[in-house]
Amino acid sequence: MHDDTLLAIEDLTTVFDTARGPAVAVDGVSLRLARGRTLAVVGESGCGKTVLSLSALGLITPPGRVASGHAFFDGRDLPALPEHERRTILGRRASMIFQEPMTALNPVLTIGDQVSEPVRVHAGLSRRQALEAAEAMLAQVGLPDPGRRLAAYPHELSGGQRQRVMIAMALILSPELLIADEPTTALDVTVQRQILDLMVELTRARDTAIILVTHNLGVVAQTADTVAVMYSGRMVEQAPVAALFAEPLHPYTQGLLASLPRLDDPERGLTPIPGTVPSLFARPDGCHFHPRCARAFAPCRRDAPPLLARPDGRQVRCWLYA
Amino acid sequence: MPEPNVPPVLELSGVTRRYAVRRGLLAGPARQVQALAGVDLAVGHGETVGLVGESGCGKSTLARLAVALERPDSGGVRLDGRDPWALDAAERRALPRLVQMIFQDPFSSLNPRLPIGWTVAEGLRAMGVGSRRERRERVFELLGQVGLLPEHASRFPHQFSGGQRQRVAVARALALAPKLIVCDEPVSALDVSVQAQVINLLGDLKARHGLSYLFISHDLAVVGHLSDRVAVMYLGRIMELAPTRELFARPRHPYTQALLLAVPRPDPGHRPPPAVAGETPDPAAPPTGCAFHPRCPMAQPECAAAEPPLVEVAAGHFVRCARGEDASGGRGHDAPGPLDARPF
Repeated sequence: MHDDTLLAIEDLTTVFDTARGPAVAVDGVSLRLARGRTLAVVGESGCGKTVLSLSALGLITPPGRVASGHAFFDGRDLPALPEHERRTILGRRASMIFQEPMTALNPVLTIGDQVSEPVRVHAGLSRRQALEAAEAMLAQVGLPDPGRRLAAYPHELSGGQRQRVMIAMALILSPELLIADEPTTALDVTVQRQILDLMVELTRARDTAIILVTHNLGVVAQTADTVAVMYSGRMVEQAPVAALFAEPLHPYTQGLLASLPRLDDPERGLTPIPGTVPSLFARPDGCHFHPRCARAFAPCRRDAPPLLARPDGRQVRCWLYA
Repeated sequence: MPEPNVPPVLELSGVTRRYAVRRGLLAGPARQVQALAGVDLAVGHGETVGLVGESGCGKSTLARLAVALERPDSGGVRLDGRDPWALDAAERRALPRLVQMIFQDPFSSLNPRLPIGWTVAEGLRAMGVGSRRERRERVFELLGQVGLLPEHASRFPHQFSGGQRQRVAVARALALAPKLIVCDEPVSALDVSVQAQVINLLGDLKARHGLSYLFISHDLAVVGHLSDRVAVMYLGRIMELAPTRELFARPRHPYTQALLLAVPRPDPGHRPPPAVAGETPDPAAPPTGCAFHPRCPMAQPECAAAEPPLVEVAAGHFVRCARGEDASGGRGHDAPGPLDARPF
């Protein structure tokens, strides 16, 4: 393990115990995130990307459970830590922002109360000092008239402003890790750009590492250093961002990029991936992607491919490269 | 382009629509929101017109007017040359043969308690088309056209994936062989790999049946793929309208330019210039003059005073900007413009 490793996820498996039986949402995923870097976890609905990020922080609650594996945050296995120890780490050193700020913010508390809470609880500042810190943070996230906004409630803000408030709350203690789960998906495209730019600027200034969970390959390309592609609970490919887009290795990644309508080439035909993502309860044997894969051959139907490490540092889970 | 002597399949002229909204029980008197503020737009036979814009721009209101679900406050709507609000009762009941709609969420637009074959046949039954047996055959044929199987007819919506449900919605829209299908964010709820399937399906069906689409989406890349022409809306107004290739290659309106630059591109080497500032204003309190001027990097004092008209600056290319024909050339040859050098 390198010295600059902030988060090391090792063979993590998360299972949901349901009436229809156990559902493996995350199936043996390993990832490493270095300090100050941005790792994008990309995939379509149901691929396990959100459950992976929650599991890594030990935030999975029943009927879900981390069945095996580890997630070492600065050397400490978060899912295995007792609740009170995990809490002190989470509030101060790791934080999250979500897709829908209206549901993540408390509607009956003022913006000032919510943004200042982390500094009151974890840094032990007085209410007055904490509100001053909150006002300074709101100014940093570009909320107009931050002093007056301290007394405002979430419903009085626009969607973009609410997401700015979420970023202020998440970064006020300069955490080492930020998990951003579809942070701009609910926003209009011009506002999406503003929020992404803001998130990148403020995390760089704090040397905060990001796990960016998203389905949007454009957002990945513009924001990430490395990319992990997930499909049906498994990580199928991991690569530096430039390499992934220049030369996607896994047929699923290739299919995703070929499916994407592009502004820079509107007349290029789209090549969809046939079929649909398998249900959590009816995953195929072998490689989960093989029924939709044009290049599938005998081993793909029989055995799950291992994650293959290539000399250039990329990883791919596909028999074509074995 | 609409042909000159045939009436377009859809024509909106000077359409306005206003709603009264209350923000809450105790929020005082209702306020007026101008959802559409004088829209002119035509969709020709066999043409796809894309409509893009961010939330609150009026694109969904425009969709409801286009299928005559709602009546404009002023201005005219014509479907195949006729005012749907001046038809007699029998003609009005026949409107579904002319225009159909596909919605964003196929789960809420399909009746969960009916087998999908029944839903697809709904229009045929309502119009008294064919015998029971003929309708059954027609449903199988329609399911085949959208890539489903005859045995799917007896299944229920929850037994299908999102992409399959949207195929069912397409089959239902096709049942009466309409001339125009209004698609309101039809692929926005779908995953990328499945979205491409539905985009290709819509493209194939258009070619096969000579359909016209009014294709509404917030996603410029999706709209670009399917549309012959694209209209860009902002706060109830069309800000720019041009053939697709022209609009993407030479966007003239500063808002269109801002939108195109804001879309995150799947190209890690691309380094876009900074985003346009601000958010869409409250449609109940729109700015004076040009609706975009408070956010416009090129705004002049006159932009706050009067709203510019939509003028044709090149063949088929309309722009609503005080800088008019100058709207993209005004930066000069050397000055770094809002568009970077990379071609779209």
